[in-house]
Amino acid sequence: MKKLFNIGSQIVIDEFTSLRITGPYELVTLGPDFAIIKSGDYLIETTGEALIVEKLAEEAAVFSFDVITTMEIRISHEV
Amino acid sequence: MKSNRYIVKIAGPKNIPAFLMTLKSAGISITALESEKQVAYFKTDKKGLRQVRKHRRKFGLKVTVRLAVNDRGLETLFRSSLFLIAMVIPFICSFFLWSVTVDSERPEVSARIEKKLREDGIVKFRPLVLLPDEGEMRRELMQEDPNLSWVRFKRVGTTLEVIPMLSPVLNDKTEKEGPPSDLVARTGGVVTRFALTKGERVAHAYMTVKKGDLLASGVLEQGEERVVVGAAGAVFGEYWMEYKFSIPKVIRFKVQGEEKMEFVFKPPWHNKTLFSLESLKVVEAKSTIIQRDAQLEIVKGMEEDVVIPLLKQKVITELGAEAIIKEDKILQVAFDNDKVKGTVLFLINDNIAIKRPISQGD
Repeated sequence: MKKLFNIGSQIVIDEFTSLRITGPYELVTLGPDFAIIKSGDYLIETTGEALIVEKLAEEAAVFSFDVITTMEIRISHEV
Repeated sequence: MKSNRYIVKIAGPKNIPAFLMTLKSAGISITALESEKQVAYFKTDKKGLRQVRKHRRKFGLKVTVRLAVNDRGLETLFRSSLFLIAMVIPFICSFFLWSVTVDSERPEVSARIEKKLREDGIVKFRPLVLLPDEGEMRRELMQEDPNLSWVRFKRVGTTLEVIPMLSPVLNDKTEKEGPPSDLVARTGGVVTRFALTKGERVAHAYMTVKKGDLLASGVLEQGEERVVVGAAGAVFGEYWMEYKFSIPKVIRFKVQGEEKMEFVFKPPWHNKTLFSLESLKVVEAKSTIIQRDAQLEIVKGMEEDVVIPLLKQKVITELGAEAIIKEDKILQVAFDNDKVKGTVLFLINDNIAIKRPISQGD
């Protein structure tokens, strides 16, 4: 899995219940029902019910919810 | 691929995401992460656990670790080396013979066969590869025991079952049940031993008998009672037999001569089908045995060496298997133009008893 192909960030939403990130990312905040991830210049905030982080590896992360209620992607202004 | 999984519980006022990011950048795999307000649970491996312990002070977190025994799952089982060993052991075991049984109703037969199998090394824990060919085993066993008509081998997995088939018992001794009879001597001689199956001995060993003398009685007497049972069996005795012979002076016969081996080189490319089993035989060997005519001329002085053994063979075949020639004496030998004539005395030990019906009066 480790950098067999060097690809950029890829963010996939599966069945509207799980969020999969491949590539460099950063976990900013993790709450009981939300997660804020930074990938590149973007901040992705996902809120939903029953959040379980299935995987948190170096260049891959899977966040799964029962239901995703809100998802917001915005450019980060922080430096 | 042994990777114990641990359930880690971290608790602290904040810093949880930052702590997780530190672990992440250290290349630690975190799975099944659940977070509540100020607590997070996740699973990690041994390597991750080391990192957790290393960094928790810096972030001011409380860490509780518990082994995820209940949740190791099938995946861990299939990956573990123990599983591999558990698979390999039966696999290795399957290369060895684990049981050898002889299925016979007669214990003495199975004991004999078991002994022979042991001698041939067909025993437990022998690698299956080293077992001799079935035909060879059968040949060995049947050679050993003439009672066997066939030996069946049943090999199921690592068990070998030997099923001997006995040849049917031939009742060739079904003598005609004639009228009850006594055993009398058919010729004079000295009784040497008795092999009676029925009847009562009348003569005794080393007793000289004449032709017609009673050897064994078929009538049992006890006081007043008289029971006719008939006598059967054999009574062996020694007697001299005069044997007159007349054999040709020149005996022709064939003998086996030299064996000629012929090696023919067959280049494999001459074969029609290359890479067949036939083409592997590069050298073909043919052997021929030449038969040669030979002749033997009996001259004076060859009586003991040639004539007597020849006559002995002849007498034995005439008398039967039970007869033994104990001594021989040459009475006279005459050499003719084309014949050798003479008289020989043989001391023979043979069954001298014949049956004589008992006259029962009424």
